[in-house]
Amino acid sequence: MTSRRLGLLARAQREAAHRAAAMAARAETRRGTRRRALVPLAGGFAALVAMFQLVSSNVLAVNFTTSNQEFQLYSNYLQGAQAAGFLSTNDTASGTDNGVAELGIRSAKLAGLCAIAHEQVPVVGEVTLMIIAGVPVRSSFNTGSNTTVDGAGNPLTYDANGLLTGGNHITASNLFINSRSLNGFGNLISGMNLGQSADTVDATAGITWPAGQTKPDAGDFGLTVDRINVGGLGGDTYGINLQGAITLPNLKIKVVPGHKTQADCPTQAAG
Amino acid sequence: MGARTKAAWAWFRAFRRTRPFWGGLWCLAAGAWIIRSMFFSFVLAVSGGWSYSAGYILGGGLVLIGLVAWFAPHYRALLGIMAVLLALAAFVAANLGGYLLGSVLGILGGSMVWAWGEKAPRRARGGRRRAGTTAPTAS
Repeated sequence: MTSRRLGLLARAQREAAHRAAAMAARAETRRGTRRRALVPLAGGFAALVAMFQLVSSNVLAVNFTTSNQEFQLYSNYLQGAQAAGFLSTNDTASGTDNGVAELGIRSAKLAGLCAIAHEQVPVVGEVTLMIIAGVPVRSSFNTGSNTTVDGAGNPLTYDANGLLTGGNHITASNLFINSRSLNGFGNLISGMNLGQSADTVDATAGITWPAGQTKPDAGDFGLTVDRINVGGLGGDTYGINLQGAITLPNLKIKVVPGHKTQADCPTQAAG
Repeated sequence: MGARTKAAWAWFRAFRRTRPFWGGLWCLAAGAWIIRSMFFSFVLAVSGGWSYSAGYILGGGLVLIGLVAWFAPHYRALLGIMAVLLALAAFVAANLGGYLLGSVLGILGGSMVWAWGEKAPRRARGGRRRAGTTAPTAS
């Protein structure tokens, strides 16, 4: 290096040492988190608890979009009005594509929700994230008949059209489910059109596919349903997208160690 | 090498003591966790509306507040309160605040950043105001 550059380097090093010494001198005064931290801390946690209670009591609606991980979704009963569906691929972050059914429901009511996601965490091993809302979900479904009792043994009541009556149920609007498989018992489904061209299904149901989702091609298989009611709904989904808002009564979020399945939904909802 | 590591450690100690280091660390962790739980692709985040970009906006704000707490701590009075508000907003808008962990860390970090400042010097060992203490108090 030239002597000029050496001189500049030496000057830079001197200035850095000077700043470090000044910082060390400032560090001698005792500074830290003062007791006044308790004010925003207590206020913040009180507000968080209050909002959590509001979500649990079906008053505050939250925005809940999910990510590229597949998770299991269970509900005692899904009552949907104005639904549309078509087949598509889901691009995941790892690059592999999966075939999925895109289902959009204009307004939905759910008797209980149990969403289960498995994660590998560094020290603890496998943990399960469970999001539970509404009435307790049954530990297993009999898809040969409609679900009449929820996970805690309380009866679920319906009117003559298969619509849920009573109870503290989850309501959602503009709900989009992107899933690999859905199982259940179709209960009094009305106004179904199978084989409608996939690019027209959203207009029939009065929904708009969320931005960023691949639009269906004309001539592909699509279905529209006026009233869709599914008892004992279980599915592997990649995501739920709520364009509207969702109310989640009796909300519980738990991270439990181990591998949990639907059989644990009623016990986790109770405890 | 002993002298160098000693100097580096002394520099780090001075760095920690002259800014809200731990508060900023919790804010960074909260922001990173919220972004991780709402990690959508660029196309989705840009065209998808608030549902898909909320994680980046609120989590990114918390990360920024953490960095400012470390490198420009004279703004901490305002930004501490903003970190608490962003964490509460993330509960509503970003997958329940990164499944609650992001919101909790954000409130903790924001409070620590806001409350950081000069404290009264510690009293000398055993020098409590009460008279007649026989046992030495640990400082």
